[in-house]
Amino acid sequence: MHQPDLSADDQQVVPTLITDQRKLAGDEGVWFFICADITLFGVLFGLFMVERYKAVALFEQSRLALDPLLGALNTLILLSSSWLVALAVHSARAGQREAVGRYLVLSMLVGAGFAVTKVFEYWHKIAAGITLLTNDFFMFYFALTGLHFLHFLVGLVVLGVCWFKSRHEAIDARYVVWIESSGCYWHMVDLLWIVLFPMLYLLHAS
Amino acid sequence: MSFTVLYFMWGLSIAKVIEYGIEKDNNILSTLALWGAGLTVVPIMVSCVFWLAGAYRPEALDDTILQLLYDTAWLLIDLGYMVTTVQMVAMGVAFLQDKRAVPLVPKWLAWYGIWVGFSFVAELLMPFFKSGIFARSGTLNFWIEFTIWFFWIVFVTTYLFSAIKRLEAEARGETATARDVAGATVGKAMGASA
Repeated sequence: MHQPDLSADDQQVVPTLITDQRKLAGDEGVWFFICADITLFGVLFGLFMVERYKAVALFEQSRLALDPLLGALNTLILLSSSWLVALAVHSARAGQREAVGRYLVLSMLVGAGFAVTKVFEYWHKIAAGITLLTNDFFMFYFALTGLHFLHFLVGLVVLGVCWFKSRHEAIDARYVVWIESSGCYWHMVDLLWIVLFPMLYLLHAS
Repeated sequence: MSFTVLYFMWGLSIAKVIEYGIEKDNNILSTLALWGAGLTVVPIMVSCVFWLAGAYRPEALDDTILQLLYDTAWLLIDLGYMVTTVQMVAMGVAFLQDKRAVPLVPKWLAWYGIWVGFSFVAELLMPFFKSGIFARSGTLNFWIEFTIWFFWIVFVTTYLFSAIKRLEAEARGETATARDVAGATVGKAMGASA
């Protein structure tokens, strides 16, 4: 992965986090939240597959109403945004305040594209008379992507808080834990979508 | 129905632990936790009254009215989730602010409560469905949501007892005994391995 420019004037390596023996990035409690959330979504994915097994033809026919290009675009958007957050974390570890702010703003701007695409998709479906009550496939489509979208919105707020703190607080070990934890959450949003996209848009009946 | 008020008393004991043991400058979080616990009682108690109202003289009521009472009660319970969410998030944030080397309540449990409160938002889907996983009797919106809430109550209660002992020891100027922090240490290890 690309490493941020370490020659900046404000470079100030945060020593405690380079040398310590922590196995996980960020806060251990946030990891508990992330694991619990992924488990819950895992159960929901399993329930989707069970219902799909009961009505493969219906799910296949409904799936074709989704635009995989928009799903792929959103995958690209979230992956890019996650990459920018990773760069921000690297910059924070190096104590580069300006780079942290820059990468966080870019990650939020790129990430906001996900909301634009998703709102367009929802609007397009509802305009075509397709809602979460249309059938079981679209119940899952709207519910799962809706719950994921809420996670996405929380993630944007969390990144915004990181950006605000980068402007007004010291880039120290405490801040690095903050941004690492936020980055892990943002990667979780990304990871969930990486499962949602093929499951809803691409999984075809054999 | 009469016992629902015990949830408020349970919430009060937690709020007092937060106020006495963690909060320094203000009591906003303990107040939110207390109000959240108290208001959680209201939809459950009122829903019980609706069910009893339907059962009081069912022979004199139309089927549709009985159904309306039954539906209203469940809608009230499920959509009143947000007051409990306020309690769980306020408690979680308060527990995370504990600066002790071994916190009164471990971080993993603080985040577990925040997660449960957050996941309750799925109840918003409940009014749209009469069957399936999002219905009031569904896998998610009944079995999973209420089960993870129940276990949160059990875990918090367990740690609350050890927290009270530790606060009493701190008030006496003693360091906490090994037995008092044992639960918290186990919790910390679980959090680290999560």
